[in-house]
Amino acid sequence: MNQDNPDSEKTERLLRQFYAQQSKLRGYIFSATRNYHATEDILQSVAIVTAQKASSYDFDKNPAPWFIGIAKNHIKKWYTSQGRNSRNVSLDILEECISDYSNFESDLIANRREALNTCIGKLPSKQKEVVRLRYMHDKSCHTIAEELKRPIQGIYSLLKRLKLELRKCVEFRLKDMEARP
Amino acid sequence: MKSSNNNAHDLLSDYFLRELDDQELEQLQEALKSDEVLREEFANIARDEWLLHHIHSDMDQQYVRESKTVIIKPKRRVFLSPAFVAIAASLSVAFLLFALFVNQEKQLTRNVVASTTTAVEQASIAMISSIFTLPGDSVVANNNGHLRNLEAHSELIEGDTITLPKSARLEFSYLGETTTVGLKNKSQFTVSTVNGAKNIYLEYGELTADVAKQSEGKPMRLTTVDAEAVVLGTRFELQAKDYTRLVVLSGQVGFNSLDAQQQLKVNAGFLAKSTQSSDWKTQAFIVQEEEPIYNHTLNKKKVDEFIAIDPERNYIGFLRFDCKELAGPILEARLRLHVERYVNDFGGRGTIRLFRVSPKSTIHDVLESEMVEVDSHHGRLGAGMDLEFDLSSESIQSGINTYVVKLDKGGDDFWFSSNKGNTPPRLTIKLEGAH
Repeated sequence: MNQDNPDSEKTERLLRQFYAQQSKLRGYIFSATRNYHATEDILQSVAIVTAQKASSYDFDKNPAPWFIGIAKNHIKKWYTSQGRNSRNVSLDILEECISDYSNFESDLIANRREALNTCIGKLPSKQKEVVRLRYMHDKSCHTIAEELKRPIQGIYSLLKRLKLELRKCVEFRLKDMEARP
Repeated sequence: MKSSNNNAHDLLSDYFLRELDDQELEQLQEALKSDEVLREEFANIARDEWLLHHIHSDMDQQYVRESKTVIIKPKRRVFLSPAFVAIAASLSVAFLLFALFVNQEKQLTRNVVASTTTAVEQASIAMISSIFTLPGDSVVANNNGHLRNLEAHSELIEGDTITLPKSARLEFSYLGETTTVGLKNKSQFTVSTVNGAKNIYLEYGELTADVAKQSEGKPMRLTTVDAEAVVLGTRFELQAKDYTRLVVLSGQVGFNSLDAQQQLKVNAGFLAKSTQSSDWKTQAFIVQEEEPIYNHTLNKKKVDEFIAIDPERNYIGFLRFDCKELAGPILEARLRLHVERYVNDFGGRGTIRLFRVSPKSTIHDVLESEMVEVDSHHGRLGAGMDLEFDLSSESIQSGINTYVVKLDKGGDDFWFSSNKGNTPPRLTIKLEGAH
C-alpha cells in the first residue's frame, strides 16, 4: 500500500492487528460453522471489511471485539445461506472460548500438522479410507455409512476412536520432536 | 482430559461429527459455560478437526503464505511505439533492458502479514481512472489473499478481485488502449488475462464497458456464474443478479451459456438474458429519454437551476415528465438526478426517496395526494455525482408521470440540477420493440 497515504497506513495498521487475531478467529469461526471452507471464506470476508473500514476506525478501541462482531455477522449470513437453523453452540459461549483458540496459532500448528500427517500415514487402510471420505471429500457420517454399508453409529464410534488415537500419536511425536537436539 | 462430565466430553466430539439435538446442545452449552477445562478441550477438538480438514484441503499453500509477508510487484507492461522501437533497436539492447528493469522496480503494494519476505511478481493490466466511495469506506483488491487499498490511478493486477462497498463507483482503463469498464454499488469482479485476451469475472453487480477493437482471435470475455459475453469491440451493459442480462449499445457481442449449449450474437439495440430454459433469445429494445417538462422545489422561492431537497426546511422535489405514447413494454427505467454544488454545499447525505404521485397532482395539492414509494437511496453523494433511482414498470405509464423526491429527517440537503441547470434530470426508459 502507498505508505504516504494516511488511509493506507491505517489499513496496514488495522490489518496487522487482524492478522495477530486471525488464529483465534479461525478457531471461533470453525467451532461455529464446523465447515473448513466456510471458515476460510468468512476469515477472508472479515479481512476485507477490516481493510474497507480502516480509514474510519477509532484506534483507541481494542479491535478484537470488532473483529469478532464482523465474524459473527458473516457466520449468521452463512447459516442463512445454508438454509438451515444454526444448531451451533451459541456464538456468545464460543466467545468465552476465544483465549483457548490460541491453540490455532500457526507456529503451534505447523509441527502438529507435520506430526498428524505422519500419524495418518500409519493408519490401517480401512481407517485411512474413512478419514479420506470425511475430510477430503467432506462427506457426512451418514453418507460414509451408506457408502461403506456400515451402521452410522459404527462410523461415529470409529471416527471418535480414530481421532483419539491420532491425538495420542501426534502428542507422542511432538514430544519426540522436542526431545531431538 | 479431566472433565467432571463424561457425557459432556462425548458431546464435544459428537458436536463436530453430527447435528446435536436441542437437549444435547443445551447440555453441551451449560457444560461449556461452567467448565473451564471442558472449554480448553473443546478448542483442542476444534483444532484437531480443522487440521484434519486442512491437511486434506487444496488450500495448504494459502495457509503457508499467510505466515509470510508477500510483496506483490506489479509488472508494468511497457507500450512502445514502432518509431521508438526502431530508435531503441538502433541504440542498444542494453538500454531497453535497463528501462524495463527500472519500470519493474516500482513497488505498488505490499501485504503486511508477518516476518519473512517473498516477492511475487504480478502483471499490471489496467489502471483506475476514477473511484468514489462514501466517507469511511474504501475499495479493496484481494489478490490470492493479499489485500490492498485502491485509489484513483492504482493499478489493477492479474487476478485482482475487487469488491465495491455500497454506493461506491469505480472506472478503470486497460493499459495501452481505450477500453474502459465501469462498476458500481456492491459489485464484485475479478480481472485477468488468458493468452493476451482480457477476462472479467462478474460475481454480482452491474458493469458497463466501452471496449476498443480487440486483436483478432483474442476477444475480451466477461463471465458471470451462468453466462459469458464475448466482445471484439463494442459498448454494452452487463448485469449479474439471479440471472445475467446483456444490453448491447453498439457493435456486436457474443452471449453464451457457460455450458456452451446457448450461443447468441447480440447486436446493437438488442439485449439477451440468461434463463433456466434452453432457448435463450435476443430481444430488440429502444431507449426513450425524457427531461422533465416541469420541475420545482416545494416550499421554496423558485431557483431555476436547482431542485433542492431538505427535510429541515421542508424542501421537496417535484418532477413532471411527459413520456408520450410508450412504444412497448418497459424493460427498465431509471431516473438520474445530478448533484450540484450550491454555495458552500458540496453534496448531500441521508435517505432520499422517490415517490410516484397522481399525474394530475400540482405543486399546490401534491402533499395531500397519495404517494407510492418507487425507490430509495441511502448514503452520501458529492457534487458532480449522479443519483439514480430504479423505476419498476408499474411506476411509469404513457403520458404524464409525476414524481416527488424527499429526504428523511436528519439528512443533509441535496441540490440537484433542474431542467434549466447544466445537467437536467433524465428519465431513461428501455422498451421492448423493433427498431
